[in-house]
Amino acid sequence: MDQDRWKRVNQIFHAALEVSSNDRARFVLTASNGDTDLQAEVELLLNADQNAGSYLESPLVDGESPSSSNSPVSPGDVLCGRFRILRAIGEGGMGHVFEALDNELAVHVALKVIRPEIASSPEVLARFRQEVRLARQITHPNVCRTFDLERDTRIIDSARGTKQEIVFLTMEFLEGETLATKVKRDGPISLDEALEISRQIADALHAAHLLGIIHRDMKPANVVLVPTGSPIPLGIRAVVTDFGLARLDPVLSGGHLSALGHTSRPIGTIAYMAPEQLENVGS
Amino acid sequence: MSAAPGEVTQLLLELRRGNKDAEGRLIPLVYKELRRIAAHHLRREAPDHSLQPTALVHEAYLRLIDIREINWQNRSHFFAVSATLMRRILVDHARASRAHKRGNGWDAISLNDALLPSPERAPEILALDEALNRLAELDQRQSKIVELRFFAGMSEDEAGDVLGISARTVKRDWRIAKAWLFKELKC
Repeated sequence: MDQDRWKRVNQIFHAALEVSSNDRARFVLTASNGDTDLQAEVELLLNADQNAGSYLESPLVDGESPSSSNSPVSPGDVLCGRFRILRAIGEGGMGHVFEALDNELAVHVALKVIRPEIASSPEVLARFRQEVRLARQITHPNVCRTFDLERDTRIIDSARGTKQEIVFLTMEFLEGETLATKVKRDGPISLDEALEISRQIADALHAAHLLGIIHRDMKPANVVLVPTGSPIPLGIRAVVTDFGLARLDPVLSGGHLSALGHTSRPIGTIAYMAPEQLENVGS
Repeated sequence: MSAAPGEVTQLLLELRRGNKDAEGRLIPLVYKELRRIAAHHLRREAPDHSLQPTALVHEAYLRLIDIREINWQNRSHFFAVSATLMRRILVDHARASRAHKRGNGWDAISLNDALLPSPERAPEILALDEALNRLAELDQRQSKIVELRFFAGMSEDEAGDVLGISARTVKRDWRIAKAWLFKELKC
């Protein structure tokens, strides 16, 4: 086949897709104008199009290791005899996030379960602990509240006595969507809304900065918009989540650097990084 | 050591002025940087940091380019070249894993296999690479779109930006390219 012929195949293929499936064969026959090779080629492509499904739809390297999607907990499980897992609500760098019911207090909470394959890394666990320590200090309506770090041991194979330790964080459960989801679906938001959301995010960051805590991964996916009936302007409460990448800022905290603050590894999301954060990358 | 930002910027500017040799000199520089960043991520990062091709390419861009000197056309060219290189890196890896040997310096940078396609996918990747070369003879742009989407992990919008075409055109090209590849490789 040459390029001109392929162009012709393209035209008929796309035109045929506009036609209802019942009339498609007839349409291709007519459009091919007696050229049976052309007709056959388009028919094969339309058939392939029907069957291709998700073929090639996931990029070859999507950044997720195959094992990472296996979470050690699933809906229905009860952790620490207290938290009943209701459903998965998201997946972050550190692990899966679930909505759970706290039987003790009869409230819904969010559980962030650290990935089992990284729970064994002392460095990652240290970061996870740090996340809890930092986040617990911030009390502000625009910051997702962090409650506690918990552990549970699960028996995987009772015959062999194999156990697995599950480390998880309990947090305020936020009923809403992220700013990233909203923008992706609705396109640009109105100026009034943008101002209100920005103001609330700024308030949240200010509260953190007063404690010497910087977020380091501020991005729309880390802002949850919670609809509220209260007099808060526009009925939106914007809540900053995932202080998981935060660290004590050396300037704000008067030079008391934690050991983790010294690592030069790039932390954060490239597309949303501040220039001065990037300049330290790989240095 | 990575290339000086000025060098890549200069090559992109030369390319823009029509100097075709510039591309030949640009490719090894970008290739080396992509590999270096990938290795850095996989060796030094906490395991929760993923090797996301788009992020990798953006990071290479930020390291290699003097942003003040570069306009959008130059930038698109950089991303297009990077996508080709991502394809080459992944196809090389597939070829090496099929041959059960770790050539091409992959072992030297201890790539974590969990983040790369499994060896079972090697034949599929090599067949796709070969089919894409054939598709390029029919329609260069359609082949490029598959490269941007499948090998470099770009969205339809991003691919459209790089190629300077509408998302709608990307969607159309993507659909027929996918059907053709499915017909060639899966039927």
